Amino acid sequence: MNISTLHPQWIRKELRQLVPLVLTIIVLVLVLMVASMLTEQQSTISPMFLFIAIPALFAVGAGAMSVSQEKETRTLAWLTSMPISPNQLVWSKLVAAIICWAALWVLSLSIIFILNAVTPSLFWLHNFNSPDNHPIYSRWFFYWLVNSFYLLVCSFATAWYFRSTMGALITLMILAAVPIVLRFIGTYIQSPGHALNSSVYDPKFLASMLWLVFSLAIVCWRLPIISRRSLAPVQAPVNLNPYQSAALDVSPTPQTLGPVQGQWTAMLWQFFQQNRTPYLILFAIGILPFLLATVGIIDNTLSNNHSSSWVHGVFVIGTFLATVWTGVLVFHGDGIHERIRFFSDRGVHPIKVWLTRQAFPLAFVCVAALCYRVVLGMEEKWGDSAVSLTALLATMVINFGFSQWVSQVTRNPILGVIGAPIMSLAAMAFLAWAVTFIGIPLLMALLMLLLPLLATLISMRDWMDRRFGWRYWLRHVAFLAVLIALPLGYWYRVVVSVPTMPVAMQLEMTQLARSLGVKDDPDSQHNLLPLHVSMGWFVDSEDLSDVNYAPDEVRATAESTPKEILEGLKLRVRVNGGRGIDLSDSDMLEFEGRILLALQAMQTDPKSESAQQDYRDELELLYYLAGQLRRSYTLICQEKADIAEIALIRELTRPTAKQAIGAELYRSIATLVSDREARMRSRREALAVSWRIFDLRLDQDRTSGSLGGAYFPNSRNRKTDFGYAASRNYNRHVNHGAAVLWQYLEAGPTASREQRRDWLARRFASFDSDEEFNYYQPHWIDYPAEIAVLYRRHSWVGNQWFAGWEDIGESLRSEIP
Amino acid sequence: MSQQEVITATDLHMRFPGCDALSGVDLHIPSGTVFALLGENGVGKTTLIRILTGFQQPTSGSCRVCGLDPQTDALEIRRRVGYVSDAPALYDWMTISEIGWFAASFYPPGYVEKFNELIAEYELPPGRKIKVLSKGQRAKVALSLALAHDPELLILDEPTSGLDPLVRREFLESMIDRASTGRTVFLSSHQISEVERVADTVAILHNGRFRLVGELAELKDTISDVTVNLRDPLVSLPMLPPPAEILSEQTDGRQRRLAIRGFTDEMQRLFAERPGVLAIKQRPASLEEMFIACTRGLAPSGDDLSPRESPVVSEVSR
Repeated sequence: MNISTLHPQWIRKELRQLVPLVLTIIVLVLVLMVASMLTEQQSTISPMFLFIAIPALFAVGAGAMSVSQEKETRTLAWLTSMPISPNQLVWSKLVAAIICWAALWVLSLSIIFILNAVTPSLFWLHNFNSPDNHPIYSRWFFYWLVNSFYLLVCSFATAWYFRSTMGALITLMILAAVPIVLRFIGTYIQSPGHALNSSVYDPKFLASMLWLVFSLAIVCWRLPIISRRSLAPVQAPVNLNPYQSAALDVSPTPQTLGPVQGQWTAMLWQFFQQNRTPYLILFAIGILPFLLATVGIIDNTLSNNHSSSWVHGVFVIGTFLATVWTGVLVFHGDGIHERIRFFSDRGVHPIKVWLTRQAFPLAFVCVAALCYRVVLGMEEKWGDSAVSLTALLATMVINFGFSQWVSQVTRNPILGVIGAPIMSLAAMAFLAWAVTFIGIPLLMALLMLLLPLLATLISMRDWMDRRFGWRYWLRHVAFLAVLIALPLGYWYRVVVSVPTMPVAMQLEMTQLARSLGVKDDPDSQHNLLPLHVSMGWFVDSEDLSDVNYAPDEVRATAESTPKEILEGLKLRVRVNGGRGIDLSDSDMLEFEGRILLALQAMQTDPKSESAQQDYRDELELLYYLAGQLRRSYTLICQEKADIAEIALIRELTRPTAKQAIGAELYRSIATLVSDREARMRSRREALAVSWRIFDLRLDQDRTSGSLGGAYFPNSRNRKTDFGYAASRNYNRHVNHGAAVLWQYLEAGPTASREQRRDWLARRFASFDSDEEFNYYQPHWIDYPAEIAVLYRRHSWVGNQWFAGWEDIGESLRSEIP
Repeated sequence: MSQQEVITATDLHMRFPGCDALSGVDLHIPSGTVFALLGENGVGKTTLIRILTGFQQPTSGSCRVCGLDPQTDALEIRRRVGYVSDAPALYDWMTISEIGWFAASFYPPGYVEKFNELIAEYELPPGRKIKVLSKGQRAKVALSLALAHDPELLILDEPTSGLDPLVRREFLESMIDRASTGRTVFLSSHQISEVERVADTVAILHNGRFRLVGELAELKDTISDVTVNLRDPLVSLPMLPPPAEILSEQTDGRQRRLAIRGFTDEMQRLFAERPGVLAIKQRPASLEEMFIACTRGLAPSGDDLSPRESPVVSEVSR
């Protein structure tokens, strides 16, 4: 065939016919690129290399767009009636497709090189610095180039051969795998007996290229024969039975010989009969990876090797395509020649039609998910909860749902068949992003999963009536908008709507924290952290040895005297450094309770010298603890210091305190508890340092007690227990709490009791119930003498700030000689 | 709405971007009628049918079919009427008998039997797949499917295109039998001469409006084809008193041909007495002549005059 004899206007016509395909593919690839950018940056494939897929995707659809579409719209018959030879017709179509294909390669590579030069970091191209694994700079690039041309020729061969678009495209997928299968068989014959996942069978460039070129040569040889045969005059079917007069007549299906069925049965019969052949092929496509996966997994298990990546690759691709095209077929068959109008002309209810279209495919997808789960469960790697039946089913339903949506939206079946896999991938990426990154709740994920099905259900009436007006499109756009808005709305509700700290305040606190020695490296704050002190009252010696993992902790036993503990503490503080000390809540109560025990012993035997000494020792120990807790930059230690000081004030305000305690110790304690300014300064510094350290931490390190050990109850946070939104929510919530406390430190001394209550109520963003709200309200201790034991609820951060005990403590200043 | 009226439409408007398909259509079709809707290609016949069957929402106006509103009860209307569109949708992978069996599940018992009778009448091979049928055979299948449940209203959009003359004649005559049993037939067609044989009522749609609507016999009685021989082509004719209306006018040399509604003997005398008029010939107009008169040679009618037509009209009016 001489190419120069082709008419330019024919080539132009063919090029014009391919334009929708080119535009659709470019748009879909851009959508997919955005979707893939939503996923983790640690991905092994840069989204930019999706541009390489453009020519390959075009190659897949070109034959169907150029030939199958003309067969279905019966314009090919008109073309053949024109004064042009069949050869010219075939070649003009192929040449136009090759021109497009080459232009798309140039376009894709240009975009990649430009983006590579301009914004390499945006597309994490740094992952591909090595030329061996770089998609473009490695020699495998030539393989992809030839492979896309092979796909182009195959798409024309199948399009000429098959009457239906779906048949052509499904067969093309099988042909696309032929070079890979041939290469594997060739290698297996050369080196049999290895495990299927052995590196012996890994793709080698030369062998892969050889088999690809071989396959290409075969298809190129067959293509003119197939196309000529397709354009040849139709011959009357040869009737092998000479006694049968009507060769065109066929036997009726057994069902139609019986009585008239109900509507549901008849419509299910119609759907099944209509899609029997494509579903059979899809079943084969689905069952092949199923068997391969089974064989591969058994093989891997026997060879005790679990790195069967190719098995999973074949499995995933096969399952994905089978599921997606099952979805496409939901509306595909009825859309051809507008057959669906048969139902709409007869007033069949759209919901009934929709249900009968979905029943078989959806059931097929569910059963397939179950089967695949059983196979995957055979392998240890996949047997864990990561690939639960629910997750597998959800993935398949996403693929199915979006594919059937695409097939209803796209009136051109070819664009539907090509667009559905890409849109399904994009949808999967988006949903994965919504679930893992934003952390949408399960119910919302379920709703997003069902939205595509709902969209087609609601639009069914217009689709059946072929009313593709603005209302129809607007409805689909609205569903898409809702799909996108749901996670974003959730993000807003959970994150953006939660108040946070003003920037000016952040700067102020950061400045103060820096002046106190907080560095910008989150891992270098050890010298600012307090020394943990632990009282092992109920720990026997055996358990004690087990919990010796923290060498810095100071331990004491029931037999230790207050003096021993105090000396040990002072020694530890000297040796370990740090800033102040920290105590657990229970130990805090223990230390405080020891005073009451000592007091009781002293009151039981007032003349006992040792009882009096014990009491003083316990008070001295608590005084030391209070001072060290107050020194700490950890916010919660300030609250514990408050509790310790309240206990000390309680003792100091007893009628015989001076006598029982002794003048020197009394003066020291009174000096501590009466210094309101020092207390305020310590709180302020602790708040600034705690917040700054929290702010410097990575999200995963910001646990519920990260703001200087202070706990911030937040019912919203509990509902959002995973994902980026949860951490953002918690961060904002803590920032808000810190900001309120910071302001409270300024406003508290002059505020009324009611105003202080309001300040403290604003610390925490939200509560599940009034009961919870009341639980976290301040329980101010105004008169320490009236309280026997102090409880943890007294020490929610800020609860004892500016309470009456501070005034009593300050009044003790007058008692200092 | 009268109880006997199967279809009523009031002031129906349908505007598409760039064209007004319907501009105030009023329609009243009683039951037991064969109604024929005539009009050129693209004049809005299918649009009107789509509105009546609820496939299309009108821009304004209201209509009722079998007492139901097509906008709210479209599905019920479609269940009750038999509708054959200009390109009937058929599952072409089914055989003829299969599609009858399949369609029967949407209708009351007796459908299959009637369908089988009809396909036997049309000499259709029941075991043949629809995809291998000729255009005429497909039309026969579509008609059989629409007729098999004996609908109270049959809406047919170009039903006979593709049918051979014999079948076409038989089919159209069978419509008269349907009407005689109280059923109504709404027929949209280009085959004027055939429609003329079966239709009780006709409507000619042009420029989005009914140019002519009424019982065919009455129209034939009132519309005359008048040929006037003139001495000079520039001779003007006298203005006709109302309610007479000139539907069309065509001058061919010294002969002027007019289609006039309500042309009386008195008017003929008035024409004859005009100086320059040599002879006058009058006869009842055929439906085809009415159609051409309404669609080509337009008489003055309010706002739809084209500039080209005005001088002729004004001349006649003078």
